[in-house]
Amino acid sequence: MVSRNKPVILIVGFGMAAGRLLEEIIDKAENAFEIIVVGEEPLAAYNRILLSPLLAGEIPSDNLALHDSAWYETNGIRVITGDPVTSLDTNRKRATTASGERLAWDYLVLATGSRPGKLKLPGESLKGVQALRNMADAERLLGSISSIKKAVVIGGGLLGLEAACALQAHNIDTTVVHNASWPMNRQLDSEAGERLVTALHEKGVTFVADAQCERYLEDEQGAVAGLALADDQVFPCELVVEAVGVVPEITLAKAAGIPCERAIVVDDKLRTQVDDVFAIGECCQIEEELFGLVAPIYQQAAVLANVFAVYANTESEARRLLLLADCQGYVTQALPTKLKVSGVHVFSAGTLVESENNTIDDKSSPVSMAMRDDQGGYRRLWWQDNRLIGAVMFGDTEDSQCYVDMIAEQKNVAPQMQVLLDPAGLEAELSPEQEVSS
Amino acid sequence: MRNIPVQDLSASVSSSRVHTTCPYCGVGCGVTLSRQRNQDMPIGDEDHPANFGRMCVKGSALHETIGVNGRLLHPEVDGKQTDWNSALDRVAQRLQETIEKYGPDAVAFYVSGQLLTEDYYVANKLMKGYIGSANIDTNSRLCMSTAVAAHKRVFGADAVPTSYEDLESADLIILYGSNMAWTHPVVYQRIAAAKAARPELKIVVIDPRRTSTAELADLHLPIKPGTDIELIDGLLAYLINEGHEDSAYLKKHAEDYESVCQQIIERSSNLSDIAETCDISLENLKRFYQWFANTEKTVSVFSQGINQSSRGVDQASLILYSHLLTGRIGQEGSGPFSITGQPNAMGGREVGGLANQLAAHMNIESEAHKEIVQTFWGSPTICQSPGAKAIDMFRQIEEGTIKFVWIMATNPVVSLPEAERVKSALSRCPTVVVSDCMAETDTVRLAHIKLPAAGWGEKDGTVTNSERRISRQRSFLDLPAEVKPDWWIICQVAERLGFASDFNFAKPADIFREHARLSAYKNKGDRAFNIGGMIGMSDMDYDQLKPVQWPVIDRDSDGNFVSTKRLFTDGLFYTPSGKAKFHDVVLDTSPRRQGAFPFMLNTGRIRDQWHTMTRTGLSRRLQKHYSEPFVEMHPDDMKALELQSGQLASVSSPQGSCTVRVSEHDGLRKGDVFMPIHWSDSFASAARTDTLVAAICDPISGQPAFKQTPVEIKSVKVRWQAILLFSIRLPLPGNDYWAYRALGDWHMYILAGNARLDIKQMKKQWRKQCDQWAEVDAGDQAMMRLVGSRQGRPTLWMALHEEMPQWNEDWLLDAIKNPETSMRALLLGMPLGARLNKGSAQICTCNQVDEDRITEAISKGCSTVECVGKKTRAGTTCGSCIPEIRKLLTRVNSDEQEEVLC
Repeated sequence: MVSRNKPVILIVGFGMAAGRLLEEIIDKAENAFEIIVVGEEPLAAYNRILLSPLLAGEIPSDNLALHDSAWYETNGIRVITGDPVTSLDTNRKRATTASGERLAWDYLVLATGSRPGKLKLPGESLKGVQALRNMADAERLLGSISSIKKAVVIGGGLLGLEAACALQAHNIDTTVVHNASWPMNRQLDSEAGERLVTALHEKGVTFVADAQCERYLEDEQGAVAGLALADDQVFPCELVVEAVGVVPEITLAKAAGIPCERAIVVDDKLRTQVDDVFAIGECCQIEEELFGLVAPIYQQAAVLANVFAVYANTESEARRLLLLADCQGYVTQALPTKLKVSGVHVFSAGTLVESENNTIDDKSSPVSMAMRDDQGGYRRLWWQDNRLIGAVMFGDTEDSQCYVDMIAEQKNVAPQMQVLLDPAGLEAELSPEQEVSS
Repeated sequence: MRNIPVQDLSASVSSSRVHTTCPYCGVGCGVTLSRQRNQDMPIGDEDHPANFGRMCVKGSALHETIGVNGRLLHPEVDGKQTDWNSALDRVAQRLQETIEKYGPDAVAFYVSGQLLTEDYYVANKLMKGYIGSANIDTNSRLCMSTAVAAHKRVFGADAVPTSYEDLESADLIILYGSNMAWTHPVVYQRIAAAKAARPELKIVVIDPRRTSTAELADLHLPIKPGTDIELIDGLLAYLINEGHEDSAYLKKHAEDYESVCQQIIERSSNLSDIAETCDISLENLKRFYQWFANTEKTVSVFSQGINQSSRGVDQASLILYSHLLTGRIGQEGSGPFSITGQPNAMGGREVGGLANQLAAHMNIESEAHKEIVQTFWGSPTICQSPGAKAIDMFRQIEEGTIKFVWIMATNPVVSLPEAERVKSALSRCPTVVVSDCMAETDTVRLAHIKLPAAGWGEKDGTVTNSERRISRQRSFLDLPAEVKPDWWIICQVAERLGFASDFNFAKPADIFREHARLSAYKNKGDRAFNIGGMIGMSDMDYDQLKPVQWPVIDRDSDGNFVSTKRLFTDGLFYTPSGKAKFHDVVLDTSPRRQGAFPFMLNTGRIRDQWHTMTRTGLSRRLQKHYSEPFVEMHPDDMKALELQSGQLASVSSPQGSCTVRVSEHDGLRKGDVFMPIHWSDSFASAARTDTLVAAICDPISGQPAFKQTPVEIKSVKVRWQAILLFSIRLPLPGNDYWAYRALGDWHMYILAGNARLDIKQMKKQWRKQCDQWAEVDAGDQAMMRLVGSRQGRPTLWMALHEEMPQWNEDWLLDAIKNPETSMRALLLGMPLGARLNKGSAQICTCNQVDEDRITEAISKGCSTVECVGKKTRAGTTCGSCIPEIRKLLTRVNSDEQEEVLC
């Protein structure tokens, strides 16, 4: 144990999870800890979600930072950027950075995030093939953007579509190739997917479904010249953005012997199986659940800050355990998705059932109800046993929070018009306060 | 062709207002309207003695039911539009050919209490004096012929002795078989006002149903249907036994009463047996008899419950005897009072619109009368014997003995019993001519020749109400397109048959003067109907005619006609002996409940509709009280059949079957059910109530027994029910069940069925009206919504559910026009974020107040009708709904009491 006035929390990784955790600790355990945060990127924590709008030219880059340097100073946080931790010694509670600096901790938080997934296609190291994961990626792209005429985005998930629309905003002729039949196929049913394709087309983005990417083509300068699919279709382009998911960054944890499965295994209080070592965000795994969206990660930050508040307030191990047992742990949420592309509003939450059995007699199988109009509006809900289990909205995403709540709270709501068309009105009706006052 | 002179009414009315008479029930209220402006609400004419400014809901909506919407505007022959000349030539030619080949009795006119006296007069004249047949009968056969027959055989003349003001001065009013609160609302309001002023005025309602009228009653006797004779027999026996007969009066003014009274006493059981037969408590029976015995000023009102019965003439006669026996007739505040159904049933009776009468109340059986009429007319012929009464007329059409029928202003395919037989008879008849103001009625659809007749507001003439009051119906609208008044059409046909000189009338006033002359012609005081005082009236007198009760013999010193308030004040009657005549009672032939048909069907009107809805059905407001055809049942009967309110059910009799919605009403006797008479094939898939009713008639009057038909009831299972609003009127849908409602600019269909709807096919079919769609579907059609738009404006709205879809009609009809309304709200059919509106029934039609709002006001402390009126405005305009508000007050208060007890 390092003898200091205050115990040290060392946070390894300086993305959005770390940024939020700092806020939460300062809020809940002010002045109780000395905090050091170490990041690989040259910037302090910034809002990664805004990389697409940045690329699209909708916002300037200085709008991305979560906190300015004065905030870190005021709160006594030591910030190390551009110098990643390269090894950990959990016995001696020490970390070493790339530059060789040794950092001691009392409590370690791993917030190493994730890396972009790779297709491992022949030619992936060609110039012009890249991901859009961090500020460096965005800057590299912006640097060459004026010379690009055609681009291909691989992956029709949330990030891929956002990137494609951002490129299209620069009048780059952009094609999205996707390995499923419709975009965002994990979040949307086929009908919403079709509408999304229509909306993409209206923005000028071409969508290619059921694509199996085979290899990249190379031009004379050694840069990418196009993408070839297994069916011999070729999409000429000067830029490829790979947006095929992420892989949790757990190299450091593994090397340090911290138990990992697909990611670093933690309990609902974000504790790894090693004493005083915690993990949060995309690099962690709670039971079978992995994390890619910001809302659950922010919840984790709040949970972990509460844990630290317990640590700050008591020295007794037994008492700590008692208090920690009372702490609210992380609870799995229905994970709503919203596509953030200007003009296209898409929402999805819960479980989507593509081909449900809608016979009235079979009460146990999911039933669904859909609203659609010729202007492209679409909304579909799924129920099972009179509970809402999933929702998709396209176009008009007003009242989406009602569905998040209904799915999360497992409320008994029969499949009826009002749930689909006026969930806010129905909630007001169902809420007991309303009844008393009416 | 002659031109129709445009009536110059400027002398009789102020330049912007016109005073006329309501075309609905027989109360004959005066109404005042803005001329040529049909958007202004009609108001009651404060100077008219029938209503003194009062109005009911139907009258208040008159402006919503006039205009050219749905009108028959051009003559049509064999489905092709033509000019008047060709159409009239064709009518005359077919008439002539038929008469030449088969004789005058092979042709018939079926006319209506909706005709004006002048129209009626020329129709009767043509048939009886020029064609030479008496085959002209009127739809008054269905409502008034029993009263006519009873008056004639007892009084010697079809003469109602009483006036409305007798109701106000009476101390006891007995309402026999009348739901006056709904059928004659303004008379009911007058009684209600009298009772409010003099609470000691007692009201007895005799009706198997506890109707809205019964809400005002001091005593309601829900007698078993068909036991009226036993009840009134018992009353007469009681009066005799207890010494209440006015022997002096009887001796002087009645004949055959001793033998008849003797029979009554012999026939009549003791009071407890009568109570048991009628299925009422002995206590209430006694109370009724005692009140009658002890109240000098008694008025007995009788209406369809008495008239529409196979024993009707006997029942009505017994009511007349109860007044003769006690000498309570021809005096202020007492007398029997037959209340007529139609605006001009009385006028029709006066000119001889019934097949068994001559003109001016003269008798067809009397050689002397026949000679008087023929001489007066100078006609080539005169009918020799009574013609076919309504039921027989259509039987003869069915059998082929009548080969030409001209139907004027009535809808027999809906209103006659065994209506399906009537329909098939007409569809086989070689020539069917229909004069009507509407283009699409169940009867008009079967016509070979369609003649566009003037409607209310366009036609000009006179009507006579229930208290013998002749009033002017004045025109205030131009005749649209090629529309012509009925009298003109008839005279044109007469002219083409070669009788031009005897039908050479230039205007209704000319006809009225001839009618007046005939009433006085050789009338030595032996004929009650005499308006000889009006013979010399000028056109201006006619235009300015103030409502006057016949007989009208003289003018007063100011030149005004002298009205006759009461008849038989001197005890002199129009029988040969001058005495009122008592008659034996004939045997009971009323239908009895049969095993397979365990329920007894009663039929009647609802508050906001008139007849077959051809006009009142045009008003959105009026169809809100009841939007669909229904059968009312006692809750216990519903439970036994496992029926729920709002469910569809079939009602069947040996004659036919209807599909309607079940409605709970604990005011019915167990085993009795009720259906309204209004719905036709133009308004619903299968709701012509009269297809169920057997054509069993009173043997004397020929009036059918509409009120007692044994039926069976079965639930009708449907997989879906839907509401469809469309901006255009659709061809009649082919679904298992449908009902239509006009909603202003929109047409509403309530649909139900079992077959899966092919939405894609529907969209294709409607692609002309809708180029864009929004929809909700649940895959299996358990729930569906559809909004179709054309150029961004919604033109179709449809909601489909397993049960009746819920929606907010008032909100939607406004919101659908507003481009700001969200599509989700439109699809939902109600505003977003609003409390679910369960769509409670509209109670106050004038001010659009529904049951929920009234119930809310009551639960917030209102305990009187006045308080509810102040809070919600319900009941503050025409007052027709006050009985229903009173009922809600009782119900809500007793519910609350129960809650306290719990």
